[in-house]
Amino acid sequence: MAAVGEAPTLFLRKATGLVKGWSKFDAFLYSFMSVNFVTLGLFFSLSVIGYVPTGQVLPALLISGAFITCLVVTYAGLISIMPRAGGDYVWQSRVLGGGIAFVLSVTGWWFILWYWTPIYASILNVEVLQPLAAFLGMDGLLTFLGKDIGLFTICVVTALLAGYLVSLGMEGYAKIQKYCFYLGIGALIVVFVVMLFGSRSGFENAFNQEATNLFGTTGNAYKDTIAFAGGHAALPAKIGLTPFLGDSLLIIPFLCFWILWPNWGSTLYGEVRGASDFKRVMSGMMWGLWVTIAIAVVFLLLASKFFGWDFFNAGNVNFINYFYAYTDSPGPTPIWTYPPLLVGMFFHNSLIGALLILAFGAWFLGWAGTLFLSSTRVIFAAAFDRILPEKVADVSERRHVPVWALVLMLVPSLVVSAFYAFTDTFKTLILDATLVIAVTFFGTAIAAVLLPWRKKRLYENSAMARYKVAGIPLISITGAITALFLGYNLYKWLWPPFDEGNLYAINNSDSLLFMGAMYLLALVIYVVAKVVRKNQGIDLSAIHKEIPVE
Amino acid sequence: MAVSRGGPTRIFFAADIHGSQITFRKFLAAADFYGVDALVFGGDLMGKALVPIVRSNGGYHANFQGRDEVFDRDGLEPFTRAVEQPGFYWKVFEAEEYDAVETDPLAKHGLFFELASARLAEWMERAEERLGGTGVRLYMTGGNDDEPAVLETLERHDGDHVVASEGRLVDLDGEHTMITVGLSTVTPWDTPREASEEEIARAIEAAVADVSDVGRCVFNLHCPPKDTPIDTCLKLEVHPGELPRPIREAGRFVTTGGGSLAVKEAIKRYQPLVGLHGHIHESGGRFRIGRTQTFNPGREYVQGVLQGVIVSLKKGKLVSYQHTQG
Repeated sequence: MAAVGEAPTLFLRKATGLVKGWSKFDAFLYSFMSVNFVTLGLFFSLSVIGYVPTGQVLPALLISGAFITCLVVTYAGLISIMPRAGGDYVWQSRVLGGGIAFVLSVTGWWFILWYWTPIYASILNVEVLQPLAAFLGMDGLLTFLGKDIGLFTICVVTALLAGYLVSLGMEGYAKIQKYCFYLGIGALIVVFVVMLFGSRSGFENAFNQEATNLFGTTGNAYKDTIAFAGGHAALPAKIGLTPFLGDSLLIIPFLCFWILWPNWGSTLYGEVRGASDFKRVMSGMMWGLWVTIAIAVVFLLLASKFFGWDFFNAGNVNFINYFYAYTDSPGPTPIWTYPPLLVGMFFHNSLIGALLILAFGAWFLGWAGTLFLSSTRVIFAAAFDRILPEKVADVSERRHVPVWALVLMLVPSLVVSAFYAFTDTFKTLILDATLVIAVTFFGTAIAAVLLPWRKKRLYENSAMARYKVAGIPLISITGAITALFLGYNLYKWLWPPFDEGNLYAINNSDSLLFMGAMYLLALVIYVVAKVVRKNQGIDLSAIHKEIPVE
Repeated sequence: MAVSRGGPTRIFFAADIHGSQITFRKFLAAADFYGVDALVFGGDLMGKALVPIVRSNGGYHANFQGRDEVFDRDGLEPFTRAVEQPGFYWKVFEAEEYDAVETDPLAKHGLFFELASARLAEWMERAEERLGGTGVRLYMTGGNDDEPAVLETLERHDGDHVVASEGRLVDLDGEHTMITVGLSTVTPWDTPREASEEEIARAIEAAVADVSDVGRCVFNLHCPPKDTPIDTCLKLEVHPGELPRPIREAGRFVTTGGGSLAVKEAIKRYQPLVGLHGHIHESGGRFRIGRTQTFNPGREYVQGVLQGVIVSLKKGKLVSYQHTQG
């Protein structure tokens, strides 16, 4: 007889689809590689914290993490309620309607990704090619890489590389990512060990000596780097926790260029078993976010100890000022003081330095395919819903590559890259890439707030219905907090305008025009599709309408 | 034969609802909702699990979705409704009765047969009632997951609107026909209606033999064509006594084609009007093989959402199609 309190066991029959769920480690990897500490963290966020000398990055990081935790809960909730591939587009279309979903999603996951091509290319340039050329003494190449034509060439290489990785199919690319992950982690550990046990004076000497060997600097390049930066801006005095709020909050919009993406894999989650398990999905993304934050905290403390906080920020500020043409000279070193480059100098051996840079290149290679992977998926989904022409959803028979979707990414990417490489003003639009995606996330957060009421039955039949705070659905609460957080960042990015001293260098007239054109293009495509399909007897709004249960 | 309204013949196709009550009711409502002339169901009718509810201390005790649930008589109805959404069956047991069934595979099998047959009979009755006077027919078949003994309920059904389509040449509208094969290739679950590629090829050949113009014929084949975007699924490894486990490499799932080569070859050779498929839940989509567009609507029945595809046929051509998530 069944013992009192012992639950009866589910009876299962032989049927397809019953498999063991995925592990938390899988979800962690998706998330961890999306908030890529090396490519996005070092280049896109931590290199600009010197622009807020009165703020502190550590509290900003922790506060951002707390708010992005709400984003994680919100997305994990949406995944568990509607575990479908397509992510933001699917959730928004179900709750807010097909038109809003299309406009927000194609701008955030398709058009803006054209703009990420030069970002990826710049990262390849400053984190891999330039340091490698420096260590290998290839001065001609180093000069070429610093020119506009050099940057455009790298953009073409990056676009072709991303296209090639996508053309391998998910499985082929996953194999490359596997090796990249382990190699990248190994290289990071090496750097941390050196930074932990190496002395600052030892580094200072190594930097002075190697800067002379590699770049022909004279005098004390270490002190000159700090002095050069100090001539253009104030630098943070030391790393710490005060002020915990105040000006430290100004760093948050910088950090969002990097750590806003633990949910990046959410467009793919619907394809795997166990996606409706809220806790499992949430903990995977949460670990991805917080392990990355932990790595960043350790790195920043080690950077302060090993490089010196003023030197670390000075090297970054010198590079960023020159990169965005705010100054005419890059300072004592002609290329960015990329932390693995600096640690490589400590070895006084060009070969070891070059190998370290190559190993860190694994972080880029394992990430490069994401440039086109998500966007081709959204293009494919839009064609699947008959908004885009049928041809766009065609895939190759052998590897299932969405060839035309890839073309729709590649060609505009190269045009955007040309503008980026050969004009200075276009470079200042670079951070819009984050802004537009944040707008898409904002739409999803609003959809999450409304979902328990707009899709009552779907919500009540999901595991999320169990989670409430004071009778209010948890997903609505975290969705609202996420929307507020994104709203804060959007406000800071957009206001005041660039001409009135916008700290984040985003809101100029060109960027507004650019963003407006993207949203308008999406709207035009949707309206035209709606009219054309109606004439063909297809009602686009019927795709998302719920059939009444009679 | 469906009633054609002069325009193209519109067919709503869905598959793999696996016992889900709410999804089947939506499927019936889809005829009116989407304004179609025929409903085609592509197999896998039966639910996958049975939730035993044991009477205990005047109340009820059960385990559902990994949670231990204890409830009284008032809680029974909402609980069973929740159980039925993902297509599960349920039965109330006395404790001794539960113990006896729990350790007896034959008794469990018998229970599944009894409950699945009852649900299928209830569905067909509801379909006859719901579609009565509409001219819309529902063409149903079993898939690889459906027990042949349960499908006999469908075969025996005698009504105006529900038609068991497997093994029959269906005249859709006087202009287009449809053949149906509900078998699948071998799966890691050892399901009831699996077959070798040769057997599937023979079943298709036998069905096509009666078709006068295969270019105007719809192939309703449960198993999708092999190695296409509509048959991609997780690659699994089987350990005795355990559920199949997905194979991972570096945290990523490895995928494979779960479809049939025989199906692919048949579509390549005969170039039918349309291919309608199911079986692989996670690969809803469309794929063209020569002139033939093949579809797999995918599934979301666990969430109570009906995924389907509407195809419009006219004069031997596919004039439009649309995926839906209702």
